[in-house]
Amino acid sequence: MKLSWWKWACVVLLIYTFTAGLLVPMAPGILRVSPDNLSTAAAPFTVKVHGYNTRFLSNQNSLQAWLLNDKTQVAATTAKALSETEAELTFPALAPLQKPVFDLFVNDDADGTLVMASAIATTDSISAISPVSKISVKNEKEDYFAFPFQHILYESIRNLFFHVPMWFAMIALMAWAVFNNIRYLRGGQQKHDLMAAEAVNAGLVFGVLGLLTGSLWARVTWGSWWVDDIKLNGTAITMLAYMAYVVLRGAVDDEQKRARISAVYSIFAFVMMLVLIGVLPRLSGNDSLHPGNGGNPAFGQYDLDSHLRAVFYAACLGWILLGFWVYNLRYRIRLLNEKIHHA
Amino acid sequence: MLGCEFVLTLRPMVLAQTLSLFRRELLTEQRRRYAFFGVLLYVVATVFVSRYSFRVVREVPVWNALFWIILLFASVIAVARSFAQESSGRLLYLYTLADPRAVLFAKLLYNSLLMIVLGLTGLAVFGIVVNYPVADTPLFLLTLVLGCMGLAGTFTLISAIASKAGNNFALMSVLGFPVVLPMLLAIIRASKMAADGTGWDGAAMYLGIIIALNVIVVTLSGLLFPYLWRD
Repeated sequence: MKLSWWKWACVVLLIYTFTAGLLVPMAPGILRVSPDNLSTAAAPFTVKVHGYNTRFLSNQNSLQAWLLNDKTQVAATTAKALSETEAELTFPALAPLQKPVFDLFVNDDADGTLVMASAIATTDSISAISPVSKISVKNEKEDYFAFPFQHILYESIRNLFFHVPMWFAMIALMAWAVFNNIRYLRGGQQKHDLMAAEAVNAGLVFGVLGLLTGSLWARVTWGSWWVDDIKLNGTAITMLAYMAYVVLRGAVDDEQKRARISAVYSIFAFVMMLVLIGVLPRLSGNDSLHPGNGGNPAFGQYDLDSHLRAVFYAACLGWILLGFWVYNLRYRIRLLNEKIHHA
Repeated sequence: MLGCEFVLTLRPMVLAQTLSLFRRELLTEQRRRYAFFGVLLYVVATVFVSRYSFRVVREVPVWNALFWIILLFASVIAVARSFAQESSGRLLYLYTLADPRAVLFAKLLYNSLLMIVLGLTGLAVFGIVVNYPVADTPLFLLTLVLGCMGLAGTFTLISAIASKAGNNFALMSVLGFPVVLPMLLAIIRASKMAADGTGWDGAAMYLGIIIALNVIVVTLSGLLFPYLWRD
């Protein structure tokens, strides 16, 4: 079997995507604090921190923690590691200065500083001035390859290497289809029409995969399989438009007429879809949950760190190449079929 | 590229042809008034169905969406006729007489007018029978006019495509709805702002999108129709 270089590249990139994307550990973080809602002003209080991928026990000596409220830091009087992922923190009596919530910081030599915003809510009213204590933070951290720990996302951040590139693959295939539609209208060569048709078919496969992975991600992070999100519904409509393209092709028998009509529809639909998923979601006020839309910051702005990028770019290229591989095979089968029918 | 040909060959002659073909459309419609009144009756009947199913619609978003869904279906029915009603022989005759694009533009112009009339009548009936919670009537009317032009323009090209593929009403909806959605979304947003009376500032962006989409639709129709009309 002879594979051209880009197919090898596709295989290598996807193997890298799957191994690195699924095996690279998550950076340590704080999962939750228990109890997270209690009276803090009356007496010293103790909370238990549940970490993720942390090494509290082996770094017991350097373990320290503090709470933050209105720029005032209050250090824990004791920080005792119960296990690698559990620690017991005791704080002096505190009344909040501004908001009735404290941000929690935990630091040790191996994990660096772990932050959980609004970790502890207090039942006390805002009044007294809390004691201020100096904290010496050693911000040293073992630098190892890990994906960032993000609340709500947690391990599902790995879906970034599957969900997002699948849409890129679909859009690349649809763009290739439109390019071939234009080539067909200008030159009238049947092969361009077949290319466009098969690119749409392959693109639809990736659209379905994108919807499935997205739906799964939505269930994990937003709590529902299908959410009222303009980008989600926009892409669903895009799929409908391309299914309509397939239906239209089925409705016309004459080959040349079919090629021409479907090319016209495909170009028209592609432009409208660009507006639907490219322009409108960015303008709308607050009806999208996606990064970069509906007033949300774009992914890259603060949380697409270099470790994620190292896999993400490879994943994008890999999935797009796979898309074109699928398209290429379908196109060649189609050509063979055409040859058999005309022979 | 495609665009250059379009601009180079779009001579003033096409405009003159468009206008005379537009007059022809009006004349044919006048002779077959039952078709126009049929669509009008469809709108009025749907409004009464809404009245009986919803009673009074007080929530502005629901009212607004309902109104535009009625107009959406009305536009499919009204515009679907534009290529379907002509025999292929007569269309061919027209294409030999004038630039094919002039035929399309005349139909586009005529459908826009038809949709504006339908939209205004629909609004009057819908307002009287169901409810009229619009705070900013001038803005709403402007959105209505632009929106009706947009719906008509989009469905004109779609009807040209559908007429080539066997003139099936279902096909027209299947092809048209996904494509018209960006337009409809902008229209619904703008008209909701008009109904809420939140001022022209917020709606201006959506009106801009509707106008831009109208321009895109007309340009694409002009670019693509030359490849479509031949059999």
